[in-house]
Amino acid sequence: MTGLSALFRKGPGGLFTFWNVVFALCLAMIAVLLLRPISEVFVVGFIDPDSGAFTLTNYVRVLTRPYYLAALRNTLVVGGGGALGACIIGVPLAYFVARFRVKGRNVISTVAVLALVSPPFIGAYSWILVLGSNGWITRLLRAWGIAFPSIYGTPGIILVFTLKFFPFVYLMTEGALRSVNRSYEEAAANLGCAPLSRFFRITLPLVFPAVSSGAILAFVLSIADFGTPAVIGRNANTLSTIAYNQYTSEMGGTPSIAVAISMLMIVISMAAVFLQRYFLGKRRYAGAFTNLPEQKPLSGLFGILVYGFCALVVLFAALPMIVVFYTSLLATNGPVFTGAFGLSSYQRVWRELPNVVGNSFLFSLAAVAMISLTSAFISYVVVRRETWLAGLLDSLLMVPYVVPGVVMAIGFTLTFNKPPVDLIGTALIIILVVFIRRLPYGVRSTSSILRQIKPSIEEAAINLGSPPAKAFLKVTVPIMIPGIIVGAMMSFITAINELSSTLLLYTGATATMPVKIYAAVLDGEFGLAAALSTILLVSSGICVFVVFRLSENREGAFV
Amino acid sequence: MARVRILDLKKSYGDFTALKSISLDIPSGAFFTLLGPSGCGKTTLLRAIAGFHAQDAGSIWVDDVSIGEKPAHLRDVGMVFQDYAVFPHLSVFDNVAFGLRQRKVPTAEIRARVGKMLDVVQLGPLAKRMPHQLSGGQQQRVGLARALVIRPKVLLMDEPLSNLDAKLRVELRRDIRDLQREFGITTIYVTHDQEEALAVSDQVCVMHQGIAQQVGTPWEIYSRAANLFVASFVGSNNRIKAAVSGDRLEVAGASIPCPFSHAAGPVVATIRPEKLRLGATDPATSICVRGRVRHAMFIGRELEIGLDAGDLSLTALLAADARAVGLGPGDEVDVSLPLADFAFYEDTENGSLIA
Ligand SMILES: Nc1ncnc2c1ncn2[C@@H]1O[C@H](COP(=O)(O)OP(=O)(O)O)[C@@H](O)[C@H]1O
Ligand SMILES: [Mg+2]
Repeated sequence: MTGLSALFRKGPGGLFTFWNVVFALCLAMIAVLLLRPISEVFVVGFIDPDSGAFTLTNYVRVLTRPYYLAALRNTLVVGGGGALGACIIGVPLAYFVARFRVKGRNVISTVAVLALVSPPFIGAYSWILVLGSNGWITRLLRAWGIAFPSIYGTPGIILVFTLKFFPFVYLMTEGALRSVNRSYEEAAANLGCAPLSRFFRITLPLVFPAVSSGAILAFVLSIADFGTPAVIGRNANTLSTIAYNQYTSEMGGTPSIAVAISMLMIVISMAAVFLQRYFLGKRRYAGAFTNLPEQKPLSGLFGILVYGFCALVVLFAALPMIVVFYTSLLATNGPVFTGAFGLSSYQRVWRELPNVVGNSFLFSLAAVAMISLTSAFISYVVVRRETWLAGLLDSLLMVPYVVPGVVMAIGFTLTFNKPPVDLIGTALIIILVVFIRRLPYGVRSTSSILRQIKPSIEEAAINLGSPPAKAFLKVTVPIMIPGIIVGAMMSFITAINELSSTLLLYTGATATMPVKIYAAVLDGEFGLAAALSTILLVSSGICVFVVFRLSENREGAFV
Repeated sequence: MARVRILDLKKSYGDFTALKSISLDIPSGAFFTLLGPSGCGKTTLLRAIAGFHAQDAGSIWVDDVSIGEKPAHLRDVGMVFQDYAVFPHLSVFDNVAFGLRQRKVPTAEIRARVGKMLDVVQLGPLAKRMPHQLSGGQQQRVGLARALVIRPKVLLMDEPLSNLDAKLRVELRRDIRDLQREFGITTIYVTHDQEEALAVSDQVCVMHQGIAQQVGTPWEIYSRAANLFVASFVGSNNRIKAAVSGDRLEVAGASIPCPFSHAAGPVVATIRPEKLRLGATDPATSICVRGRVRHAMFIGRELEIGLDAGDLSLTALLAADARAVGLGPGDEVDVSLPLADFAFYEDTENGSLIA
């Protein structure tokens, strides 16, 4: 073995070929922007904030004090509840839409995708407007003398997570249900298995990989979410809210406790992901036969129930968006609604917060530009270079999925806080954190299109005398363009809705829309929050529209 | 053991009619085969019997019970699938036990019956395996065991061997036939392979364009095809233009006494290639044709010869004796066509048998 060169693929061009250089740059970037911040977080967790010596007290404290343990329990409850709720809604919906001729299928999937791309804290605050202590329905019920149970705390959080994350389960499961060989269900029927038992004994186990992927995604995103528990949780803290609180109260000192909490969150997410991988590893169902299931017509009582269920899900999922839009059109006088319609909330945005809207778009566009460029190169390396280092790069890109935004932000402040790279309070740190957090999504959509382009196309260009870099840019990239645009749209949606990391990193000059919405909700400025949220939703909606237009597998692009 | 009757069954997909009034009467314990080219409606018929889709009209009877309106899981007809459909998340044992568990059979009995059935299909040692650890042939044995172990009244098989290689196909079809005899179970078997159909069946139903063309024993189907479609689909056949004029029949350049009564006009004569003989024989019992060899191929055991005689083109299957093997393209030979081996059909699209 000749050391370093054996690690890279040594082609005819020697060690410093175009692709080896790209590869090295990708690894270096991941090391600086991902591994370094996370290892900072890891190290600081073992440091005594006063003496600077090695200690385990931070962890001991987090794992023994009731305050932290309650947050841990709440986190697991809302994560598990969110994932379970997502399955309870997502799986039946997927089954109905995949197996029956449900009219309005496009409405269902469009609403599902919109719910998916809208930030969870908007859902949280909409439900407060509806079911909160002064919400419409609460007041209505109170007028009739009915006391509605409080929405604040874990029930509210679970409700919001359920309605926010069921689309993952729904979209993944629906795709899987469409491709299950229908003979399995027929064979079960033929052996005497009644329809309901058939669903539980055959169909559900066969689509378990998809259901569990969706559920795990819901779980991981639920426990990482900051905005929802912060808005609707009241006294129910979760790990991400106490990490944030600890961090802001430890401000200036060493955020040891916040970091210990962060590590706990990472461990939980990773445990969930590995558990699912472990169970999936034992299941290999890939069949060679494509005897696809038929869609049955709906009729009778069952048909009514199915349509009722679908309508209810659509209504509940769309409700936050409707509420936000409606609220944004109510005239306000300061924080008080006057009772008439009017555009005063939008006027306030225009007058008081133009820089906030500008920041949001500017930061997101910058992050998206970087993501698009980088993911084109990374996906090429990952898809076309089959060395173990390329595999490593692929696995490293899994890391941002399990690192909550709050944690990533803490890592960044610990890493880039002193010269020569002092980025605290700059726009760049926000852009970079969004960039690294959303890079995997961009890489995934470009990789999937790259996998469909045969290497021979590029080889033909090289064979005709084009250097490899030029062949890639002139031949492969143009074919990848739709995938890159889809990836860019998805990154843009997540970037412009980012709250959990920016909340720790912003200063007055770099505030973004989600940050302002959060602050406005806390101040009771619901009109302003609604106007900003509507702007966010419309921007996301436009991106969704573009993805639907460009993507063959419309909804599939979002999961 | 059960007699199966299908009365006037019709099924359309949109405006395409897949089954046009099928009626069949299948005796108890018979091995009954639906044979026909791809797309003729065999699967559609079988799935209607299994209850996977509803027929537009007609009824299905097992003994004296009408099952045509029952849901699939209550029909008690076993089915073996073309794509095996062995549940991928269950072991071999659990696959075979599946139907018994649905019937709430006691655990001890399940163990005994499944064990015995796995031995019958020679999978005893593989009971704990998962389906992805089995070959295609083994998976289909699981499918067979799974269908038989519930002791259904009727067994349905939709091209169960078509995804297997040729040698395994022959081996497994023999096993299927032996098992069917042993269990005495009424079996409806679907295939597009005429050799397979002839080899295993008690009765064959030849289907074409959603119509049952002919039902009969393999020998009847082969030797007295009811119409031109059956004549050419089952085994190969020479098709010769012929004409009736008065009581004479013009065929292959000869004029013979017409062996049937028919109005004057064209008819079609057929004769199987293996009935052709090399050399001229008695003109009273056969027609002699002189032709030029187009091709001569030794196909193992027999020799296939293509022959042109004027506008007549014939294929002959000959015993591979010294004289026949010596033939090559361009050689002039005499062949004789025995009159007794001719069959005559109306000269229409799918003309029916005259005599
Ligand atoms: N679900 C369907 N929708 C429309 N046409 C169908 C459907 N299933 C089968 N057909 C058509 O019906 C005809 C009979 O199909 P099938 O019963 O599967 O034939 P076989 O099994 O004999 O090959 C074919 O022409 C096929 O194209
Ligand atoms: Mg078929």
